[in-house]
Amino acid sequence: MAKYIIKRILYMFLVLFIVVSTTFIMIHSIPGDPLTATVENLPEATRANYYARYGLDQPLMVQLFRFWKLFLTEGSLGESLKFPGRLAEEFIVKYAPISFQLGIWGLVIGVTLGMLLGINAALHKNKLPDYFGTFVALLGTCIPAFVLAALVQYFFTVKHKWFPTAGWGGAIYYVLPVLCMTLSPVATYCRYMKSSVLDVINQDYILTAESKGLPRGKIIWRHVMRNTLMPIVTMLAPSVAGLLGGSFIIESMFAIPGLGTYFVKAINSRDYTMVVAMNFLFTATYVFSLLVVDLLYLVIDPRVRLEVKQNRRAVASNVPSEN
Amino acid sequence: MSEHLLEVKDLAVSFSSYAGKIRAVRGVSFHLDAGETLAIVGESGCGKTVTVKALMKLYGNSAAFIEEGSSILFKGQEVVTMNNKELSKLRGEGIGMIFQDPMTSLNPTLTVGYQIAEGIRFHDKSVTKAEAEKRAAELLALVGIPSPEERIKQYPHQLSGGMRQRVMIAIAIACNADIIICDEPTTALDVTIQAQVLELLNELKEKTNKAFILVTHDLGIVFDFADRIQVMYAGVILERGTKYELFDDPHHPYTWALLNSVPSKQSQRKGSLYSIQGTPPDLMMDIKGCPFADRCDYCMPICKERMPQEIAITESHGVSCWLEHSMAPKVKAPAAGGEE
Amino acid sequence: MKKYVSIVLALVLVLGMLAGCGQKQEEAPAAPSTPSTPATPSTPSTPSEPVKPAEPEGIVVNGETIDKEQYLNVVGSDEPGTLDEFHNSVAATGNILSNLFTPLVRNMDGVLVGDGCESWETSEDGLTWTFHLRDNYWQDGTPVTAQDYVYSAQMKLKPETAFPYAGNWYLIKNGQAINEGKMDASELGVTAPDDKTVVIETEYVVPSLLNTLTFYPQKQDHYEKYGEKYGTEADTMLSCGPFIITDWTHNSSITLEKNEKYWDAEHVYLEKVTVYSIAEPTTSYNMLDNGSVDYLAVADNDYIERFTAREDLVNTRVQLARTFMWFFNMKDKYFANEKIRKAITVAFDRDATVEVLLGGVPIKAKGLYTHVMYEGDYNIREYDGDLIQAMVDKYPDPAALLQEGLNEVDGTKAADWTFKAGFGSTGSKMKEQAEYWQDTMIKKLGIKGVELSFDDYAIAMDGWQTGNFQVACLSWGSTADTAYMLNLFTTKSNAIPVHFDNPEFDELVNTLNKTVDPAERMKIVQKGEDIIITQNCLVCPISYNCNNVFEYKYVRGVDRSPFGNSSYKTVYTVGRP
Repeated sequence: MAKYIIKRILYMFLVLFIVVSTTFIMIHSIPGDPLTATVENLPEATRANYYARYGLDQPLMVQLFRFWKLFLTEGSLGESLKFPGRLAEEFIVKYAPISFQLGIWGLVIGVTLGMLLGINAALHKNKLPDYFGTFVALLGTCIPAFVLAALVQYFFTVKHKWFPTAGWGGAIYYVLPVLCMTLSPVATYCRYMKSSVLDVINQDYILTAESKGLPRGKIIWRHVMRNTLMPIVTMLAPSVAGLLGGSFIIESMFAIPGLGTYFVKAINSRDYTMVVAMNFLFTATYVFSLLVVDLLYLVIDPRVRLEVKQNRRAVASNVPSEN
Repeated sequence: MSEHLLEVKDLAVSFSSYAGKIRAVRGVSFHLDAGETLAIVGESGCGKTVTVKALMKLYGNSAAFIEEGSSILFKGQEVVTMNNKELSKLRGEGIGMIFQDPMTSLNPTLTVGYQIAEGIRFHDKSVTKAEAEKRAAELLALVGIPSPEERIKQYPHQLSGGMRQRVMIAIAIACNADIIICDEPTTALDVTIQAQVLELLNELKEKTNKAFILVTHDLGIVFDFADRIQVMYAGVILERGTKYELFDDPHHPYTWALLNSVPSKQSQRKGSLYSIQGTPPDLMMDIKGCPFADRCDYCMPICKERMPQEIAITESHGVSCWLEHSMAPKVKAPAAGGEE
Repeated sequence: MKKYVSIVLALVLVLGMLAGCGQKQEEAPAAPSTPSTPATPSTPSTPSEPVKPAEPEGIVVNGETIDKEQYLNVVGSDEPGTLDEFHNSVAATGNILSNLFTPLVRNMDGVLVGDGCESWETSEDGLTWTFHLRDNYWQDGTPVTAQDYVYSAQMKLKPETAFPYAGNWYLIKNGQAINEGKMDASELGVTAPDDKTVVIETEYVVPSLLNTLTFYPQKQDHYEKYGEKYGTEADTMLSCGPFIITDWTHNSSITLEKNEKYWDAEHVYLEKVTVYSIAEPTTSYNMLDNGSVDYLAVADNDYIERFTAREDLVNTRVQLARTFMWFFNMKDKYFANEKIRKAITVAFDRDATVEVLLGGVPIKAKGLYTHVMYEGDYNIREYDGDLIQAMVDKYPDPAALLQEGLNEVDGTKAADWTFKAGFGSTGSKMKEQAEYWQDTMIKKLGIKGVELSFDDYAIAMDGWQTGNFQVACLSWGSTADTAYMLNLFTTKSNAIPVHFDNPEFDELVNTLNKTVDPAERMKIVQKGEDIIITQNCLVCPISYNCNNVFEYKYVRGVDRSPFGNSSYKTVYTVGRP
């Protein structure tokens, strides 16, 4: 088992290296530089000075090498170009938690509600709860985040001045952004849960459970839920990884100092350092979450556990024969 | 009239579907007493499984329902009108069930120990977790699984098909049900394993005073296991009797056909196996006459007009066929291949 | 459009650091007396009437008793990237800096007022400016000295600082040489003969110098103490201006509080200013709607309608020194032809663009210079008149003109001819406009079509600068320096890449740089605009941008300097609910 995990971790680093290096090269290859979009009167000397200061005058491969060297020796991702004087990792450390907090609330509430709606829809197929679930799922899929955010903001801060329009501070600032972030997971997980439950509920072992005389609640909790979790967990991993990056639209709409807005600004203003750093973060969290999912599978599904063991045995027995 | 353990009267079960109502079981009546084994025999889709599931109102997620006028008396209690709580008690404590496919009938994410203990603990709240586990291990031992203490901690995928079916049996008998329904218990198993499982069931039968209902399309296993047999076709019972009566003196052409289609030394020697021509009737339709009439080699005009009444041959042997009518031509059963 | 406008607004604000221009349209056109007459030493006057001793009923300003609680909430569009003036390259920084520091001279509602200095004078040749500093102190109690101003200017031009806007400072003597690393920073034409005197020398005559560049002081030892970290957080800042920064929640809000040590603290009424960093226009509109902010520039037609109907809001249109235009690639086979350029310029439907597409907010262009540009006492736009209308009158049939041009090139029939137009935005509003223009071009010129292409601004600009385009669309802001716009079209400049190569014009700009007399300069500027628009038609001006500001009626004294960053120094409220 440990060997399996170590292998996965090594693999994770390889993916990270390749993805981040590729991004690095790609973002530097897009026409334009951090100055083009903002500075109108730009003599060559000024541009050259700027390039020299941030090392942009070096060949791309040298820059890439420097990037990894800086990261490996000092653990730094470099200085932001749009926010001079601030290191990219500072942004991550400082703002990712804000995005994450918001996101995790949105996701937890959204997934819980979505799953409940989905289960309910599946258990009452072609009845009111099913139609309701389908309706919510449809809403969540059709209404883009910015429309929802604009509606919510207008209704709750202008029409009824119940909440602050934008800003960041106490719990009250969480309410509307979280509300907006909830709809999409509600829709997704409702749909997903419904089909997943329908699938499980028609399995033979559910009939077995019924034949034991177990009441419906217990069957759903013990037998249905656990088996529907697999696909949900598979979906959850990227969702959680995405949380760190924050939702650009919601954050910019409610002026929340999360990472999402920085990321978009970074791309628009060719803040190479920030783009690469963000990409680093996303890739890292994503591959990490995939690892977590794999480990979760081990916990949830005993079949995977066995496979791992068997693979290990297979690998172990293959080694000598290969030699 | 003495009270039977189970008394089914005019049971009719239908499914609602978009295309209309599917009448899977069209009024069957039978009874079962403690300690005896009833086999329900018929080809796929004849309603035998639906019938037994109806005994504990077990429809899963399907749109099945029991038609009005049906009656299922278990120990004198009406099952049809039972509420959820009464049903919970009936299932497990009154009737246990062994399903066809042990590969899919166990929950892959729970240990077999848990799956056995779960029922025990639900039906007897005073049992602790440890006691239930111990009981589960005993049950595994009873169904012939070696080193049960270890096995209860294992997951279904770690067990072979035969072992899983043994686990299923353990689950069915865990709460001392009076009736064990075996729904094609050996169909999905290897032939060698089939024999072992049947042997186990036989053992259980001898050891306990339980009543068994065996649902199968395989007449081969029926003779060894069952006391009485009833033949079902398109949701109705065509013939019933003790196994001797049915095997030695079958009266219904369908029973003849069934017996003929069982592989035997004779048929093997001849090099061909008898198969019944045609297909069973559409269950969405109303069937005026005998449902087998279209496929019957001895079909008479009346057969397509009216369903024959059951005619008692002996006290235990009954058949629903116009051939039994005094006005019908005398027909001799073709040489049966079922006996060896 | 919303996106485009926000980009434009962002650009306006970036430029705002250097310049900006506004004029209340509602006010009498007898605009700010002489915004750029440099020789007049300004009176270190107070912008408002002296404050009466505090009475129980409160402070009275301009005859009104002001609110007890003085605070202001505004939207500062984008998040300042840094408050380090040397590294800033984003929009919102300039406005904050203007509140934290004392520029030598502050443009207050169009009037130049000494802030860091008490008085100043200009030499005969117009190249040397001398400023006499007043007693003012840094937040830490140390005096603001002439060296602080020199340090700031030198830092901006040192190559290793890599100040993105160094190009604008090339007009300071030796500025370019220093920035190019050919000279030491100490050679810069900003010097301090003594602690209280700053002398600025320029490369050429820039009568509007004080509206063109903002000279802030920077305390060297404080700056060096923080180094790279300076300007990244509120507590790294050291102020000497009307306000100090007390909180900076990045990407959310900045809190300014009154600086009691500021020399004119007596006339600073606001105790606290909250500047929200709101990138999403809808959010800021909602904030104005529910009173979370006290005033706001509104660009969206629907909201303009909505806010106009509100009785508690006052609408003010602030014109900017920014021209929205199409420009032509002189290197292109077809667009090297003057008639083709003129035909398109004449055919352009400015009325519908301004009134319908842009919601009537901007002003229809009449030439290169906006209405807010002055050469001495001369308003350039009034002096030069409507060059575009003149062209339209001269060529009543643009289609015929186009065909003439095409015949000169290769004889293509107009009906078979298409041209490419590039846009530096991918927003839907930009597309909507472009498609409208495409339509009118086809109708009015009888051409086959217009190929539209939309790119991210930086990508588009990159292509234009390499000459890979026929017609492109952008908006360009001017500083108060009248030479600025002309300089964009000299042979060596590639800022607006029209690729115009005209020694006569280069010489003209050179002459302007040496001329002091406003009347003379005005003639040169007129000649220059004539060459660019009337003679060669390098660009097709569309409109002059405006900020459409809505302000609650209780707000007073908002500074709408035509150029320079507005500070909150003079703002107060009367009767805030």
